[in-house]
Amino acid sequence: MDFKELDEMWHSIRERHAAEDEGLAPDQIVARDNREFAAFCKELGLGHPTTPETSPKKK
Amino acid sequence: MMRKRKVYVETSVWGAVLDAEPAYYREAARKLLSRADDFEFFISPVVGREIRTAPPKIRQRLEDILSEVNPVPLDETEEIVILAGEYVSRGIFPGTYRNDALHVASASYYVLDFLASYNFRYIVRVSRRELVRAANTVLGFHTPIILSPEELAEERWEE
Repeated sequence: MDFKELDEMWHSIRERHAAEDEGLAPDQIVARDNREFAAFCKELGLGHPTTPETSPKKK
Repeated sequence: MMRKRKVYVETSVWGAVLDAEPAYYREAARKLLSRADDFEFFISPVVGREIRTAPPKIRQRLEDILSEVNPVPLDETEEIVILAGEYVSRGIFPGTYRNDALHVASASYYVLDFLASYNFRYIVRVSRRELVRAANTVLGFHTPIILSPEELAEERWEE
């Protein structure tokens, strides 16, 4: 697949996601994203999403 | 023993591992992701969401690659979403590409060393790097080094 086609595909997906997220509060986005990502990771055998011990860490 | 550098692997890099042409994109992405002895790879829920909503044939292949490379999946937090919103409100990323802001916010929040991306339109650009660094400095966040896989795939560190 041509790299430009891939690039356009990702941009198109991002535009769609932005439209879907319009009007959602941060806590709603986080709840949805973490729930869906946990299921996705489980399906792929990646383990449960984590918060690394060293973070969150501000300079 | 050298510490492993932490690399956030943005979705476009996973995509390039497929049969992307020209081949140098593909080769650099593959080489980077083959260096598990030197790098620890991370992904976020945004990467997962983008891959899950890709066309089925591409999604399946990318899922196979993710399973093979086994990156560390990161949680999303409200602070990350708010930081991404801050980037958008400062005009660093357009609102229609909020995911790009989320990728950068995730790598910043989790204090990762690098963010590897092939998104030359909105992420791997000198002007964006400057703006992200300025915003993160004001807001008190770490700034990862944003680069394309070519720059990182060949890099070696002396002990």
